[in-house]
Amino acid sequence: MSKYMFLFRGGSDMQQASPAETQANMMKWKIWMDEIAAKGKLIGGEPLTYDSGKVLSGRAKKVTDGPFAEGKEIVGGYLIVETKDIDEAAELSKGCPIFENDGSVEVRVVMAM
Amino acid sequence: MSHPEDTHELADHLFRREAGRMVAALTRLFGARHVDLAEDIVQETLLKAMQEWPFRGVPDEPAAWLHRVARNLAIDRLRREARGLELLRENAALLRSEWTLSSTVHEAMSAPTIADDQLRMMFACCHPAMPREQQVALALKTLCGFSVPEIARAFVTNEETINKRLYRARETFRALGRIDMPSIDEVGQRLEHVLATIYLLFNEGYNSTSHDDLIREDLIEEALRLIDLLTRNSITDVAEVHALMALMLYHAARSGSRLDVDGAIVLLKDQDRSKWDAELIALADQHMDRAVLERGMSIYHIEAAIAAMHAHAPTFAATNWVSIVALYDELLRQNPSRVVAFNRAIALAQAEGPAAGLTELGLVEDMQGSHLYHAARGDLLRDLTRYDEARAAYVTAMSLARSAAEVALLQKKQESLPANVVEAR
Repeated sequence: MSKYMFLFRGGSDMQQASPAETQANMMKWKIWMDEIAAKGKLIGGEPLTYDSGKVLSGRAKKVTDGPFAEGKEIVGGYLIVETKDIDEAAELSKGCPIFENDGSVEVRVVMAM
Repeated sequence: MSHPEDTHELADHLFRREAGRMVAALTRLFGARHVDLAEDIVQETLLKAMQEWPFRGVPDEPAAWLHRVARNLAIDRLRREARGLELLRENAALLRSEWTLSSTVHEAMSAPTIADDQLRMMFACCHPAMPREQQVALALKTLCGFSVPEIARAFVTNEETINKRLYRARETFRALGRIDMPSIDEVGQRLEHVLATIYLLFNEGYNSTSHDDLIREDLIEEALRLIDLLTRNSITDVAEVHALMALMLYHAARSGSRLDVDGAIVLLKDQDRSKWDAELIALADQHMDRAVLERGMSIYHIEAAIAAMHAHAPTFAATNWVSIVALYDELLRQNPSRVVAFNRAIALAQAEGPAAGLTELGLVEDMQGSHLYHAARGDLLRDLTRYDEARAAYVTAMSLARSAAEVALLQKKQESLPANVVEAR
């Protein structure tokens, strides 16, 4: 078993969504994550805010305020799962509701110690 | 993190309902001019819940969570922006001082004031300075938490039209300043607009067969929720409100039996009366009892009385059609409209026979453009065994019908017509 990280990008353009649509979208995410948890494959994860943050870069550690990337590229959260291999992890990510909102999931391998 | 054992079920319309409540409370606090700010804060609140809840689980008290987040967002925004906002005189100082900001927002969003805020908002949205279609669009957007595409679907129109209506409505709305409850003297005339808007909302949900079921049920539910709010405030707890509530409940009680499993329309005559919701009918009766306690008969009283006759009739044939015609006569006196005259003609056909009905129907002008008129004419001609004319009427009706379910029903009727005796030879 190995750990994999899902990075969620984009899919956050819900500014025009109605409360009912927002609730429906929330429920889809919840059901998807609950299913992964029910299989004992969910290790952890957190959502990230879009509205504030800082980027530090260069030798001078130049500080810039967010937003850091185009809407489609902003990371909105991450999840760590534990599966047999990367194919199983990728398969799990297919159920993510982010695809309905034009977002993407990046599946990365957490380096084994 | 959400847990597999977390089976916390959310109320279906939690977000929509709480959105309406929070927008009402915040708009009252900021003033009508800043309704957009209130909507922004509520949208941000819901998006935060959407992001967090899947990861951390649904909170034990989801509504309280939403209100707390909205409150904190409101405090943050006011801290940053209050000086630039044109706030209401009585709130400006309270919202600009760090000493009082937090407690003022807390109080504005506390449970007891929120119900009243929604009532005030209802009257503000139904301001007589706005045409009814704007009132309805604004009420659906701010009070009921519908999106522009949802409102467009509800009224079978495009988003651009709804955006225009909302834009104009907001112009008028912002100029209102304070969101106040009308005084007892004003309530009478203002209530008329509120009730008309609620009834329109209900009818859009109940009558139109041209949009999807979900939106229709939502409209019916919202209309019932809003009228229920009116019955819970001493100023608006008046006979007319109960009459409209009774009317809507009688209709709602029958709504489940109006379509068959395939989505085809089932006529009143053919509906399975055992499927009518007895609890809703009983509730409607209670409101009817309350409605007749005061003097005066509004159009809602009469329409509710007609609906009650149907709800309590054991069969279609055993319906008291003579009384129903008399009620339509009264309704026609108060509200001389072609639709009322049309319905009266239909009832008359049941009371006095198809020939009388057909004659009466002929007197109803301006209904030629409606499929309902030609469908009814077809039925009466069929009952008079004038099958060729009936067939022609159904064909006209089909060409005017707006939904597939209606066309299917008419098609079925037309096909079940026997050939005229003369032709059969």
